[in-house]
Formats: sequence, structure tokens, C-alpha cells
Amino acid sequence: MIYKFGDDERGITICAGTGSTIVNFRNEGNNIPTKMPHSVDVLRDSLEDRFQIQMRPDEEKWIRSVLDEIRENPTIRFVYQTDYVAFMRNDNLFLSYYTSSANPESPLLFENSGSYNSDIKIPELKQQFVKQIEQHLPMVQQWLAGKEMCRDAISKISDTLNGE
Amino acid sequence: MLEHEYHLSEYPRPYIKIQTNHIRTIIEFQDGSKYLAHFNMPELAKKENWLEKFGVADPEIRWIEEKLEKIRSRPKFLVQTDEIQDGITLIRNDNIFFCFSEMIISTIPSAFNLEVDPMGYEGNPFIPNKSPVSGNQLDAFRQQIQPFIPVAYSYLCLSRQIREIRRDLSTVAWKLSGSPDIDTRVRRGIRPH
Repeated sequence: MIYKFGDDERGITICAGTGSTIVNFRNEGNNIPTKMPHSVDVLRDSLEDRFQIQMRPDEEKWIRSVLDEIRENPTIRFVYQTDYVAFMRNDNLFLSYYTSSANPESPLLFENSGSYNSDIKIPELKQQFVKQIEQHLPMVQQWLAGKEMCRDAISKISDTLNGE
Repeated sequence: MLEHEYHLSEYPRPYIKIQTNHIRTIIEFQDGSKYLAHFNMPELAKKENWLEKFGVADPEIRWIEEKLEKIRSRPKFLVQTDEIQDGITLIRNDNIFFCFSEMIISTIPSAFNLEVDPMGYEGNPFIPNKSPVSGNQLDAFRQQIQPFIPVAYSYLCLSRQIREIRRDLSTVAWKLSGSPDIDTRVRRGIRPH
């Protein structure tokens, strides 16, 4: 879903995808690098700190309403890599879980939660997200454990063949 | 990653370099031409006309074979896995490889003795044709791999389970999302003036 506000001189485009939402802010015809905030406060701070741009009240109100709308019914994308799985909500929160080989110091189910470009500044959102996912954690744990076993099997083959 | 190079320095005429790592062995000539090391070097040299191209004759070929023999007598392995297709490939640095694939499990469970592809690098820009590998070489490779079949089998079974879990987790994400709206309709807000 694409939301637009303003014009080419000072316009805002919000693209809500399946795993993330990005805000593109245009100021005096120049594009400000795309932001992926989970809250208007984060976006406002970032615009002020990095680009010395003050968000106008009407813009803030509009962005807030759009992000609220997205947050009300966020879509979630599941992604995986060799040593982790992650759930990414399109209000820009994610929960990721790593295998212990990726994080040797941590338990198997190592959780990393956050938001792009910032910490989660709305704790209730994180709680809601964790609650959404927690009943499926046994499956996540099975996946992580399976990946560890696969990794061990491959190491065993490789080490033995190479005489290490 | 093991990297080793042999240089033919005894002969001032042709410059030849043999480079080997865990994945493959390459022969490089003075003009930068590269070839994957074949099992039958004289045949390759003849076919590619190395004498005319690089001035490489029998003594140089013998030198190459001698070095390759060293590599073949203690080949290095790279064990590669494929995240998407769930297969295992054992790549030897004398340029042959062996694949264990999911398909083998699902169709012919006992058929791990599949043929070793005589040359896994078809399509590689270094050389246009497959390398001839002798039956003995294949048998030796197969024998070397035999003890690992149970481990590979376990890996592939496990890998299948993991894939199913992965699908279930994707379904979880999809269900939690309700019916994801991925259209690109444009919503226009009120202009700020």
C-alpha cells in the first residue's frame, strides 16, 4: 500500500510492504534518505537530528494516522537464513531467533527484537508482537535445533574427509 | 581455504602455474589461459593444442601430471549445502564432485550410489568440455564417500523436516497477517495548504 501526502516540494510517501514500511520525506525538492520508523517520534527525532528538518503538525498528524492504521493490522513476513529465523512486521518491528552457533554465548533460543534504525520505543508493541509469536516458539526451537544438527553433520563429513 | 601453487620454473620457456584450493585445480599458462586440471592431461593437451598455443610439450605435461598426482593422492574436499534445494555436494579439488540430493531420498532411497558426475564444471568458462574421469577414479571416489552415506541421509531427512517447519512458520506469519494487502493502490492525503 502506498500513501502520499503533500507535493513534490515537500511531500511524504509511505510505502507499507509485507515486511516493512518506509517513509520517504521530500524537502525542498530533495529526497531525504528513506526511513523505516515504527513510531512518529522516532521519525521526527531522526529528521531533526540528521537533516535539521522540523516536521509540521499537519504532516505529523497524517504520518501518525497512517502508521496507526498500519499498526492496527500489521502484516508479518517470515524470513530465514542459515542460522536464524525472523518475523518481520510491516510496522517495522522484528523478532529474530538465532542458532547457538551464531551466538555461542547464548541459549539456543536467542531472541533479538528491535526495530529498524532504532530501539522499540513503544514497549506495548513489542509485548503484542511477542505474544503473537510465542505460541509458535516450539516450532522455531525445532527449526534452530535441526539446523544445528545439520551443521554438525556437514562438519563431521568435511572434517573426516579432510582428515582434520 | 587451502591455496597452493606450483610453478614450472625449471623450464624458462613456458610459464605454467598450477593452482589448487578446496574447490578446484587450475592450470594457467603464460598468456593467462586457464584450464581445469583434467585427469587425462596428454589427451587434453592434444585436444587443446597446447604445443602450438603455449609451447607445452611432453616434459611439461609430465611435470603437470606429476603435480596433479600429488593433489589427487590427497584430495581436499569442500562440503557444500544448498539452502533452497537441500542437497549436499562433496567437491574434490581434483575437479570431481558427488551430490546427495533430496530427490534421491524421495524417489530411490537406496540409490545413494548415484554416478559421480565426471566433471562438475560444465559451463565453466575455463574449459568447454567435460573432463574424462576413469572408472577407477570414480570407484575410488565412491568408496571414499561410502562411510558418509548414513550421515548424509540423516542430514537430508532432517533437512526435509526443517523445510516443513519453515513452511509452517511461513503459514503462521501469513495467518497472523490476516489477508496481507500487498496491492499498490495510492492513497492521497489532504494537501498541507
